[in-house]
Amino acid sequence: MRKRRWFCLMVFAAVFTFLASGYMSEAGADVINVGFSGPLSGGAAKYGRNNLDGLKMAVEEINGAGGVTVGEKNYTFEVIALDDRYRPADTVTNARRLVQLHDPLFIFCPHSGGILTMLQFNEQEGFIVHGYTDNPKILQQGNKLLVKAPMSMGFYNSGVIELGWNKGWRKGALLCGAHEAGKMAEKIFDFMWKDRGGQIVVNAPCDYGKTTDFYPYLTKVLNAKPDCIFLYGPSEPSALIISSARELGFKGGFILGSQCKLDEMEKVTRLELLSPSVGVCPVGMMPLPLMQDYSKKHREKVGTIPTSESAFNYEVMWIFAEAIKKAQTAKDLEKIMAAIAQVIPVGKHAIRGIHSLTKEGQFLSGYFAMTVENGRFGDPVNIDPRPWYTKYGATWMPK
Amino acid sequence: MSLFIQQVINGIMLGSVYSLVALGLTLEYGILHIPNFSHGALYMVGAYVTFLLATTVGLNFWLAMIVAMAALAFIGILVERLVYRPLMLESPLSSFIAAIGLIFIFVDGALNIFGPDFKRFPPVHSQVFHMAGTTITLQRILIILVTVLLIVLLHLFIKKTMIGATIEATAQDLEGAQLMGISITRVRMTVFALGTALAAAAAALIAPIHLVHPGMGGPVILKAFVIIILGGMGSIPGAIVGGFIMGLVEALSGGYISTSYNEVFAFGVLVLVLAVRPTGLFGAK
Amino acid sequence: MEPFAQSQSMRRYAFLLIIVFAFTIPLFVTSRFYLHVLIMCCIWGMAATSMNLIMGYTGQVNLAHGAFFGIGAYASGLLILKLGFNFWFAMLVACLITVLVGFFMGVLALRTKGSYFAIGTMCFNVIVTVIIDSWDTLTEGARGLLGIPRPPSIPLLFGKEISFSSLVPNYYLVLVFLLFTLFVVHRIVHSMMGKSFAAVRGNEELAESLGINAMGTKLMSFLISTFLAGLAGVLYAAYIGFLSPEISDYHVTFELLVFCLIGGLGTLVGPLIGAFILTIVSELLHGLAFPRLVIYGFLLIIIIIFLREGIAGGVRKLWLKVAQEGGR
Repeated sequence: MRKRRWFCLMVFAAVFTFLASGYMSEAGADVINVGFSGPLSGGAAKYGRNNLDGLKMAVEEINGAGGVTVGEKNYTFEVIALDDRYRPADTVTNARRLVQLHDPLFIFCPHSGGILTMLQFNEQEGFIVHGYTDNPKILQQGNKLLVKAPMSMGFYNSGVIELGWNKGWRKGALLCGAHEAGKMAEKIFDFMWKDRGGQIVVNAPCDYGKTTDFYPYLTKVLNAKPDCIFLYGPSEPSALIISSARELGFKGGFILGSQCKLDEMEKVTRLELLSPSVGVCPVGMMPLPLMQDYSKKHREKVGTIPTSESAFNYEVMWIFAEAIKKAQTAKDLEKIMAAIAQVIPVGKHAIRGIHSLTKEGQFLSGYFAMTVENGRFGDPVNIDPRPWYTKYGATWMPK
Repeated sequence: MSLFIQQVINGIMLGSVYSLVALGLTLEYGILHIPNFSHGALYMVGAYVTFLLATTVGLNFWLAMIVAMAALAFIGILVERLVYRPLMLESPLSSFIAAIGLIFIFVDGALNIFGPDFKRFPPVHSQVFHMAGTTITLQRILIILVTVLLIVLLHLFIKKTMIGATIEATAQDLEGAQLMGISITRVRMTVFALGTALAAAAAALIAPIHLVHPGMGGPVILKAFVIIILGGMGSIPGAIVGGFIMGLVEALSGGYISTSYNEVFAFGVLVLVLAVRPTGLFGAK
Repeated sequence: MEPFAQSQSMRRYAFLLIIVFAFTIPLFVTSRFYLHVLIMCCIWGMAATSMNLIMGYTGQVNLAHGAFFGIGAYASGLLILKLGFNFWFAMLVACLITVLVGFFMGVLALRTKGSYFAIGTMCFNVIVTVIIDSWDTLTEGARGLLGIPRPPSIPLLFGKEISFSSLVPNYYLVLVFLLFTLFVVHRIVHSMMGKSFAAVRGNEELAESLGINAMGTKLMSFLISTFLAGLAGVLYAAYIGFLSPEISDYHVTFELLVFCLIGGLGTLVGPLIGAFILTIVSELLHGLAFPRLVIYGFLLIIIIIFLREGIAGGVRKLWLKVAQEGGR
């Protein structure tokens, strides 16, 4: 028994000696820390990692180009990433830890729960939040140190719905994910489709990640004889739903929400089966030279398909760096925030084309929608954000 | 009507997979009283092993499945020996905590080794059959057939072999079995190897139809525990019947009532059953 | 004095010292990070201690505890935000609502025993989480309930007040309720009711034969533990300010279970120790390059194998041994 107790103590001691590494001093006087708190494990790990990949790549490039110069000092950046398992309470812990140990200027977070809890103290503790989410609620908190790159889900899906409508589809079936974004998408699809005069013949929400087999859901959906099915969820399960639907004999179209990335889906299900469908043009396929360069770099460095998550965070980090340069301060957050509007679009790093900032902190950028027909991707159709934002504003959500 | 038949077929296929997982679990929990919550994580490891064998090594599907079953049996033996054996005389709660620890290790390990994406199994047995207004693919038919085969083999193993008899004896009376000279450690090893191999089989069978990812064991283990309680702990027929009931309830309630709650219907069914029969459908007390 | 009685009174002094120490912590710990971690440890400690009552002392493996934590949190949040209740009143009503739900669940579930009870309660937990998630007209569902305010300032003399917008008052609030929880559990365990809990834990049929109403006893223990769980949930809601259905999830239950067992089931401070140590260890593991959760899982297994009765149990054995040898 005594031997066992000693063993335990030794294990503890070993662990604790390891842990010194976490506290090895970061901020040399010329390093600006950038924090990240997001899901790096669990079901949303891919999403969290995509976000982080973009941020890290930007920081690497900025440092490689010599960092930023403020007055006489030259600063490089360092990313400190912490896993919060998608839990807001853990985001708070991580954020406070970052503030205590690393004093970051910026903290990036990709889930609205974490963002909202951080907004309760970021102004007091002094850091700017980049909230990567399409939930507009974060803009309604009146926080002055917040920016948000993704546009609203309503905007992203409106272009896709338009393409679907133009194909003559009228009887839609909803088969969206059961997660927060999926439920919001469901409401948006329902509202916008009916607003145009379309019909929703059946609604069968489904947890894309937890479902073992999609046949029961598809059986129910196909029984209502829709001519198109709305999907919203991670790419690979969406692709699987489509191939299962084809097996069950469905010949109609798919309207793919903004979470479904066509290039990732192509790896799971052939384009012939994906046709006919409409969706958001994947960032890697956007007909923008700057984006094409980024896409190549991303594939080489990270080895995965570039996504909106990585692209936006990449661009926002570059915007932050340029803003620091423009404001000529590495401490005054208000000046940095004011400088942001002056540095966008941020030159050759404006891969997503962020061109303006609303007063609530929303970055405006466009996107492309595209069709998939006869086994081929159609031409990307440009969707400008300004008409939508003039009509609906940055915080519109369906009831 | 064809909607009904299609959902029934869907339910039976789902039920087959659930039964296999539940069978392994009822052996471990019912006979050895080990609440092996990491059974779902081992199922996931089985899926990855099969996937690796089929893609990187390029093995034929059936061969990949058999090798995966063997590999998982070995891992199961290790888990039993290193983690659960030391806790043999403690309360099952200690084993439960150990199981939670194992889940962290397997799931987070798989996440870091293989990455968080959903991996698609290379298409296999994908011929589609249409009959009487319903659709079924060859793989789905095979799932049902192979499950029946494995159940029959398990039954024969337990009833007709010497090792099987020792397992049954241990299940009925632990002390009596020991007095008869049966090596409990060997029984534990065998049961775990069997249980984990069955989980691997279930994972291999479902892999071509679904996607392989680190979190795939989570919802499955929850349902598996519900099934073995529904069927009665330690009861093999209970696990089988419970598995098919679970699959059918999920498919039919989703089809006719609401898909948002279809997972929960099965849990609700369990609560109702336990309210009426506190020891499950086939449970002894 | 005999070594055991000596160790008893020494233990009481030690407790008193620790409580005084806990109250003085904010004097020298000013880091908002450490204070936040302490607050979370106290909240989880409360939840784990309440779980200990039904599990450690009454011997029923209740796997629905997270659900009650979540119900308490959501109930108070909704009462404050949608019905405009005052914080303290909302706290009381929320705990009562939690107990009510606990009553219905207990009456149904406590007819079953052992593993059946465990899995049955786990199902309840899943059902509660799904309901919170799906009934979004009431709870805001997966979007989350945001903007739950901190408790209103407590006015003091001379125009001063205690405002909960900074961390230190929140720490004291949570600490006070943690001590309240520990006190309640301690008094119950040493009362007649507590002895009947222990009797039911030891052998239910035997207890029945001695005239103890096992069902009533179990239900009582269950209801008290759900009340305290709801209380912890209320404090969580007010402190974090944002709720999503995941806080009632069965993963929360498992985490509380781990705290109880690693700390030491059936001891008063065991779950608290478990909550503190594991939260802190989990924080420290952030510094490593190696996958954090793999190490965490590994640690859990090592601890549960080598320290059978948890950390508190191990400490107690060591203490008794030292006391014995000292007495010689």
